[in-house]
Amino acid sequence: MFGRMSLFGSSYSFRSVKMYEHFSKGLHVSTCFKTINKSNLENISKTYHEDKTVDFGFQTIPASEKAQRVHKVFENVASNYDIMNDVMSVGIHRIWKDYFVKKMFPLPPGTKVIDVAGGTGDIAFRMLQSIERQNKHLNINVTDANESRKNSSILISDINQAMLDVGRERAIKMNLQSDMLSWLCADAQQLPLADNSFDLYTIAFGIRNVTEVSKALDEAYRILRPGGRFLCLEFSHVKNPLLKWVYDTYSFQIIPPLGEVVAGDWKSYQYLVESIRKFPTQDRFKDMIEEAGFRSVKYENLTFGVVTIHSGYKI
Amino acid sequence: MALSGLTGNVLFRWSSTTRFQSTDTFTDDVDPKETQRLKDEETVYETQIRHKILDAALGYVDISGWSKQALAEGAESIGYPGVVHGLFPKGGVELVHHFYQQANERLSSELPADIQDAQLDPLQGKDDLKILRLAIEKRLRMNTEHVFTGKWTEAMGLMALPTNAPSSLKLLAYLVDDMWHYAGDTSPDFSWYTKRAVLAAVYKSTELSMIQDKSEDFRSTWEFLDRRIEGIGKLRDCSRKCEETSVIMKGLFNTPKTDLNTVVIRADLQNVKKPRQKQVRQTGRLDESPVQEIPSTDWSKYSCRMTFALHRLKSGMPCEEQRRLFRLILRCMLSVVKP
Repeated sequence: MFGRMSLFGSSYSFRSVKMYEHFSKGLHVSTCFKTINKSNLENISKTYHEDKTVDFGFQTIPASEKAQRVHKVFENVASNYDIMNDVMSVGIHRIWKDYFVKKMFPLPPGTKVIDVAGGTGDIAFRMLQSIERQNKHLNINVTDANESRKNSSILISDINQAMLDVGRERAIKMNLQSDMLSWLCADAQQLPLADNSFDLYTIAFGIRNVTEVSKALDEAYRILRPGGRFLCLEFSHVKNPLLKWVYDTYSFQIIPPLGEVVAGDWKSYQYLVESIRKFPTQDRFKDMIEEAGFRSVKYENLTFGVVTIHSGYKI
Repeated sequence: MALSGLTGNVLFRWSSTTRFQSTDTFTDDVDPKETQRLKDEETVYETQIRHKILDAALGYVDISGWSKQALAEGAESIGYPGVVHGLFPKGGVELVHHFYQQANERLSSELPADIQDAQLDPLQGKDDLKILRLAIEKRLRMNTEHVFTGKWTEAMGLMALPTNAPSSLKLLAYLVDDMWHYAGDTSPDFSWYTKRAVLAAVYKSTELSMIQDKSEDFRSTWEFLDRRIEGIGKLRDCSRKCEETSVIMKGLFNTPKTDLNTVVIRADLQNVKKPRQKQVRQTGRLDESPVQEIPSTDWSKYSCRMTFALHRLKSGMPCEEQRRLFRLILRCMLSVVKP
């Protein structure tokens, strides 16, 4: 009975009129910027009870604080985000992301994608390029490109304006200002979007930083259309003891100093490796996705489980 | 209409998950049977949806081939978003296997009636080849639609890929098993395997001939099939003859049992090969001398003698004789070990 109450509570509360107003303002304008200012963040934190605690790295902090602290971490690292990714993963993160994007293709025209926690646009830009490639390929096959077919759209959502700014700059640099892209600054736990409005929900290296993972999953289930797909790329756990030892040594002994040297920020990268250890294992996370209502949930380990792709369907 | 049905499904699903969760929260109340039942329901539901999408996607094979593209288009045609093609991680080959499976099921449901129509009786041994021919033709005709568009070649290629081969072979195995079943096969011995292997080879080669066939109504394919079926018949005759020969051989070995005192030790293989010649049975007293005559390298001759001796041992004989025979056998064995 308790489970039922909480599930419905989380899903129905977002259907308030206010959210719809947000949504109508936000989505129909192709490029929109909305800043979550301090007061907004505080509003979010007020929704938690004071005695509720969550993990922040290896520390345990009140749930109300997590959003702000994560926000701070990513504000700090935003400018050096890309270079640090390359340095820390020795460039492998590009392969992971490419594979992740490859998994969702072919993407039929008219697909509506939301990329949550995709501030710097890593996933979205890859998708955009793949869509263009795919369309070119299709145009060769089909002589008459049907105009009535809608184009796909990608909505990039992130809680952190600093990350979105980085993404926007990159889009300009990469000459990728397409009508298909739109931007939204919102919390993954309460997206100001209508129910059943997206075909594909992707979240890459983001769900770990959400205060309550289950809430974000419920939200994903809510905004996806029946048949929609949930795809999540996230750090996970290495099972092989020997490799685990290597991986742990690398994470704890090398990454924080690297952060200090390259980005001048030890603590943020300390948080990064700790939060990876605190994240549920592959199977536990799979169960959580199933609890949110998704079916046919499967996961695939990349690089011995350093990173895992979870996939589920709202069918 | 389709959409409203979908939302209905989703709503129904909501309630089922919440039920599932509520049992989760109170771990004491978890009933393993109930959990299992819910899990089974889930799998049934998922398979139903998968089948719906696959069925819809089959309509797009002519345009998009056996591909994820076809799966996406099929899903869209029944109201799901195209991204749902990820439900089939192996891609196009799952579509091929689905088609194959369906055709197999159709065959096994329709074949008995067809056999009756053709006035064949599976219980009569001589009809089974005719039934097999009927079944193969019927099954291959189910592929014609894709053979015409040239997509069946693609499908065969996909099925032959090393990663897909195990499941493809499984489907083929079930298919030929069904065919033999309806042809009235009840063999409990090793021929169970050989029969199926031979039929699978025939089926597959006829399928290959079919995709290259340009004649009207695949006439040359059916001629090809007739020749292969004839081949099966010949093969079976051959094995039957082999069996007969072995029976004759056994009879030959059993004959000297009749009189113990005038036994044959000196039967060489040349004589055994010509069973009709009566001089096989040379008479003589049983003694040890012949053993020494055996060239130790010639094993076949040697095993012949041993068999004779053993046969004689079986039937009751005086003690002395027995001892002699034992000694003989021992010597034989020793001479094998030390040539």
